[in-house]
Amino acid sequence: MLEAMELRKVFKGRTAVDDVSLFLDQGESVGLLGPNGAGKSTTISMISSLLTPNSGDVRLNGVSIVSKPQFIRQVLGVVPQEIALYEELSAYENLKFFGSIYRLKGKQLEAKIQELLEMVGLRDRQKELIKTYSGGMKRRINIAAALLHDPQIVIMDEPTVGIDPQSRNHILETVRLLNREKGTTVLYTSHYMEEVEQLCSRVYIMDHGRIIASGTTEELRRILSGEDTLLLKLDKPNKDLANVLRSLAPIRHVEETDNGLKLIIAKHSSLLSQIVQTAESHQVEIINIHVHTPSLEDVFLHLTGRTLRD
Amino acid sequence: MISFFKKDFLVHWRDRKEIIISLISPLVIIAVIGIALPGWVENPTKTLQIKVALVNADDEQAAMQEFRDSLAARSLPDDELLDIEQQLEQLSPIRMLKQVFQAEHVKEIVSMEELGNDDALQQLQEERIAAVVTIPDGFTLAALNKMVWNDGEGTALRIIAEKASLQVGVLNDIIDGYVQKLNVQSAFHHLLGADAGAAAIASDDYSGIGGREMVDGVETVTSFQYYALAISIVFALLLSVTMASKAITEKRERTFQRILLTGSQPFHYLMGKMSAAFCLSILQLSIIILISHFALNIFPGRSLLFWLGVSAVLVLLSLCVGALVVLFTALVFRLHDETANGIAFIFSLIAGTIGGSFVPIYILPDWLRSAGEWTPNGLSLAVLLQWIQTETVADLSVPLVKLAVFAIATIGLASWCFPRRGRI
Repeated sequence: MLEAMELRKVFKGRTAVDDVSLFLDQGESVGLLGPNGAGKSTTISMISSLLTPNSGDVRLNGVSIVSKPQFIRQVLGVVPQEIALYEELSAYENLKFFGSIYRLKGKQLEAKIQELLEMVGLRDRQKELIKTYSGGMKRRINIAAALLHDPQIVIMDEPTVGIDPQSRNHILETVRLLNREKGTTVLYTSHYMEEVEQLCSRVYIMDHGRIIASGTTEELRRILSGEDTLLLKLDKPNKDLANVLRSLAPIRHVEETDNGLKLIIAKHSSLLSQIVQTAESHQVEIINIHVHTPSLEDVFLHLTGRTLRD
Repeated sequence: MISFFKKDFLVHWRDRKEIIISLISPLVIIAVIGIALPGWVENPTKTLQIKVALVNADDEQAAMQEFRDSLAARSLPDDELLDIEQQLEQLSPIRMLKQVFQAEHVKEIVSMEELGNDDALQQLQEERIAAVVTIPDGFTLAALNKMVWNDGEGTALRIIAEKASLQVGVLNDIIDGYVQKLNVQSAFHHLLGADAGAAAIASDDYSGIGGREMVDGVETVTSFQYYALAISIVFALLLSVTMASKAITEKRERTFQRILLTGSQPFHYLMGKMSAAFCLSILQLSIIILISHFALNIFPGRSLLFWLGVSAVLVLLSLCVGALVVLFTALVFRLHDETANGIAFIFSLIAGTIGGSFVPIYILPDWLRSAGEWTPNGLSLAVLLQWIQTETVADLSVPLVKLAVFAIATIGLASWCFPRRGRI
């Protein structure tokens, strides 16, 4: 349905996106993962026809939208990372404005506005100005404004950044509803791994402007099939212990967590007794050990050597 | 386009801070300046009044005698000697200087008192007077030698002031005028002969120094009228900066990108801004001028024709304000936010100054006043002041066409500046 081919974008000599190719099939929910500055927003801008790539092409059902942007604008809804609303207008007035410039009129527009306000749970507060809303409520209206024209494809750029858990759950539910019940194709970008794991069947991982891995969540997890993740809960933090463990050959990565250490080790390596002994020698007590199933977060860590929130 | 208009109108209208700045501030400023500087526009000399001491350190009698003695040494024919002796009765540089200060138009500005040197300096120190004009010793003799024989460099009057000020500058100009008059006398004397020169300098015509011109049958502009128009106009100009600054938020928060994604044309977006700015400007100007008028009785007994003329100018001015919003908005999308905002602000500051919105255009030099009439606010103010005085419809047509041309040219420039697709 939508295909980006070898996209490249350079800003003042700095390459923001390099050789990015991805595709979305109809009705799919695809995640685009990457830390801040990875190039996700630039990629989205090129896919949505707002930014012209230096090279490469974006095709919608075989038609290049670089030369014919109107093709995608009719069927695309974009939820930007920013709250792209007018603070001095009410939720209703914002939706009415964006609906009218989508050329919706009269009862059709009114019905659509009320349907979307109901969907995002803000029908009762539609007359209040956006500037009086909480961050989560603003984000919900931000999503509603992208759905006024019933788009076939929705691109969501980090729609849950900095909001309360209730609004976050509401947004995730809305995305599920769109994708599973309405058959809307979704491209969801985030640096929250768990959101992407919950919502998306396929994932692209970006770093430094490039796609570094892609596939279904299962396929990506299999990258770590040769590794185990151990979570050690310790009675006190000890930097020396972490350094000593890093020097042990089967341990591939050591990361300090809030209450202990996270170790990525080669599968089937018999390190447990060695770890316990090392901890004792450093006078650190291991309260418990948990063997963790690899997550996308672990995959990202494995691929880039850093966490998504770095 | 109606959707864009409604959106921009409401966004600005609901910004309480901006509304207070654009409606309340000008009314307060008009009232405060009108009360603080009454009559400045009608009679600008009032605010320039200065108290001056004249110290005469010269002995005029002795100088005259010395000059007469020097005539004997020149071996002149008897008839020429007699002529010069007769003219010496009229050639008194000190008397001529005092006549300058006694001229009616100079007296409106300079209050002069003759004092001794010590007394004058004491009063200057105590700030009871603003300046001391000293006639130095040898002034008369040097002036006569220069005027009659063109000998030497003449001599200078001294002005002592504790601090520089506009009033001291005016005093300086008056003294310069006097010196120029002496120079003219000297030139006449040598070119045309002693009689013509003496006649020229002996006349009491000091109208060229200070004063103002009055034209019969013309209404004068009052200070309140001037301030009400100048301040409401400059605030209309500032409206263009504040409205364009809203585009910075639209750009930063990607609201404009969301608009583009709907398939809307940037032209509609810009025209929405222009029409909203036009209406807000009309509203703002009308509210300020009408409240000023009813509260301070600024335009009493004016005809319907007068109000129609004022409305025509304000409508065209508002069109220019709308066009400037479009231009400044285009710059926001073309340049960095701070750069675009800075350009808009500097333009308003310069246009406001040379257009007479911050200081009365009467006190601006001619070239600056002419430059001011190339700005929409300056031209509007000038034509409204003219309209207040004459109510001649023919005087309105050319400025109105000029304002319309300014608006169209500005929209054209904005369209050219607005970035093409994919560059925002």
